[in-house]
Amino acid sequence: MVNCGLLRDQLLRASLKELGDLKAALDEHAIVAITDPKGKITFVNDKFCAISQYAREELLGQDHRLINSGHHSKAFIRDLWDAISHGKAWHGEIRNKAKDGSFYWVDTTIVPFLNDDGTPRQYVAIRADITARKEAEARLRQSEAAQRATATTQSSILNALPAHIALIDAQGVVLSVNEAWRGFATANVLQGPDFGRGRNYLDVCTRAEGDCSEEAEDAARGIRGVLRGEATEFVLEYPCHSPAEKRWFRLVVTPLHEGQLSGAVVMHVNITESKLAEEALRASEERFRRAVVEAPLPIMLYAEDGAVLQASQSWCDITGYSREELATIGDWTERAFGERKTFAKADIDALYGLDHRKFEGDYTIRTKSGATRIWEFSSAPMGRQSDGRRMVISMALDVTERRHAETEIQRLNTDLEQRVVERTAQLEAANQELEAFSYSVSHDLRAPLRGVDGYVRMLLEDYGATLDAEGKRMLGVVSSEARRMGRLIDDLLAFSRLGRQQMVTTPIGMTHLAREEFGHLTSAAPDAAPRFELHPLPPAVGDPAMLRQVFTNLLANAIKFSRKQTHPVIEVGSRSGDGEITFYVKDNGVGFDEQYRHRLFGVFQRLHSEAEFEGTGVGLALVQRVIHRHGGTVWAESQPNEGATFYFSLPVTTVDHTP
Amino acid sequence: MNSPLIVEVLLIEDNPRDAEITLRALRKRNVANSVVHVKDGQEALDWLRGKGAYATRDPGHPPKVVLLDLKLPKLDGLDVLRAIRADPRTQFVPVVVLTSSQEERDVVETYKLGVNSYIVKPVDFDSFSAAVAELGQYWLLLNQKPT
Repeated sequence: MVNCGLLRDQLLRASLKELGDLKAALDEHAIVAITDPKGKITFVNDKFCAISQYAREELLGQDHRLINSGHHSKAFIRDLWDAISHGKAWHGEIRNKAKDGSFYWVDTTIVPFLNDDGTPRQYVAIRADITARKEAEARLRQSEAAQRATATTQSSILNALPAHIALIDAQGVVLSVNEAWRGFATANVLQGPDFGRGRNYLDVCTRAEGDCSEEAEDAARGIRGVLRGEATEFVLEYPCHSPAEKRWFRLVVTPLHEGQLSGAVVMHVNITESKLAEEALRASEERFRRAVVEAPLPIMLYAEDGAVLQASQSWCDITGYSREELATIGDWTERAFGERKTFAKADIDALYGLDHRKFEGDYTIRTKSGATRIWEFSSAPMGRQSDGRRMVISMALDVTERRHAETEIQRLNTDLEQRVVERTAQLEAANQELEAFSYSVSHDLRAPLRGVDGYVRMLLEDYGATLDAEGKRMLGVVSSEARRMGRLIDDLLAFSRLGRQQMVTTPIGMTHLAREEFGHLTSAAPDAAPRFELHPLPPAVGDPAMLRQVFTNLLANAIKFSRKQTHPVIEVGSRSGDGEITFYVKDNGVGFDEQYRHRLFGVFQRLHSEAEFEGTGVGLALVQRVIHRHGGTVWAESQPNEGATFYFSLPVTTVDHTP
Repeated sequence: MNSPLIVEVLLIEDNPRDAEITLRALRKRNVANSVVHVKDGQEALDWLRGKGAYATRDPGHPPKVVLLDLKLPKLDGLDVLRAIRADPRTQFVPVVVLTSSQEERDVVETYKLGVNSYIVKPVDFDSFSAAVAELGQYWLLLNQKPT
């Protein structure tokens, strides 16, 4: 028995040792805690203390609520207890809270140690620290969520973009497309079902036919280049016109990197609007360019750095310099102004600060052939180039001929003034001579005549008795001829005086004037006077003495030439219109032959013989001179033996018309 | 020349023909008993002032009327007229101006130098002699010598 007992002891010791070793090994590896059936902690190993950060004394007698993290649900805890209180082992992962409030995860196995009756005696919990794994898992989960969110965001962004975007793999197979691409594919039925996904885009390009096939080839080449890593970007602008509208696209291909070059992003951007705007701008610029170039006057547009941007053909034509010879303002000033270029350049430099048009005036320029021209410049600011350079437009009028003409006119005017002065002096001299001549005529010519007549009379008085009748008749002729010459001289003087006399214009009652003159002329023999029919005449403006002379002469003529009629009648009347008044004096006398009408108003011109009707031939010439001086005209109508009508017109307002 | 005391008419006329006609007209109408004829302006002033060739004449006895031709050699008629009017001994002597034309008449009117009458010498002898005689007579009769 003893032996048997000893053996049993030995066996038992050996078992216990083994058990202790196992426990030591367990403690070394795991976090171990033992609780009583009520859950009170009865044992914790060092690892438990280390991970929970509590001292053993703080733990013993407490339950696990001390390290409860609050992470797990009540159901989770209930399931745990339900299992172990019924003697079943429980396995799971629990998150606990350390003394400092931090959390740790433990992989937990709880084994109930049972009494013989099967009720739990104690619970042994063996745990392993899995905090690191759990945190890694959490990080992974977060990362995956973030990636998912990023992917969603990116796809939203891609879908929001108006550009048609496709991702292709290294072989050119379409991996995914954005909304715009799908829309375009749907509209154009180009890519078939699934909007081309899965098809090789390079094949699509290579097989393209029609207008755009060439561009499609280029596109395929470019995409291949990017896929091979030969280029980091490929850009191609191409037209893609439908019958309904003109469209342009820009193809941009960029590499797609997923660690390494894995494909490409293919993007088609609709650039129709900017293309149209560009075209419109180009057309507008072309119109402007043509307007400048074709302008019939010299126009130049240049920038502040001196670059000549545009020059009209006229500029080149007149100067003889080609557009190439006028590449810069410096070229222009050098060629056109020579040594004066510094001044010209300074003037031009001052133009860039303009804010409104400036009239610059005349500049003398030199043409290629060496001739000089005069240009009248005006300049105006033209804003800025897209690169910020200020621009100025200068316009010129070639005033060479005009200026020369002006100089010539000025010279001629000076000449003319000089000549006018000379002529005036000559005229004044001539007038003085005429005065002297008139004086001489009136004085010196008349004196001998007086002598002739006087001595004839003395001869007759002193020696009349010794002369017979014929002798006396002849002396009578000498006497009457002398007197006639005296009258001629008097009339000629009156006529000449009329041209020099100052005109004094006032309103004149013409009716009164005509009646008065008729009265004077017939006062000598009122009974023999012709019948006078005077219509009321409108007033006129003129020199009263001169117009009186007109009536005197016309009425005297009328009386004279109707004298031989049985019932002489003289009529005076008028008519108005066209800014003038026409007066007439009509008689029923002998009239005159109209073919000699042009001689009527000449000095000393007579249409009747002295024997028929006496007169000097000055009266009508005098009438004409007076009327002309009043700005009017005079004329006559007649038939022989049917009377004559003399007309004279006067403007409603009269000024002196002496030339 | 003539009586120095009772000269009635001083004729100042350079043209001998006109002078003869004038003198004849005056004599024929008996309007002047005594007529002195001088041939230019200077001689006229010498006569009136008793100078030069007329130094013996008493200038205190002016003529009763002066017949003055305007156009005269040396001193012209207007100068003579001015001199006559400037001299207190002759300032009231009537002066009849003889003009050759209407033009000269205008000149006289412009000067307004106290001309009492003018005669435009017509070519017509009758008119001329009548005018001279009538005017001469008129002024001779009218001129009550202011003493």
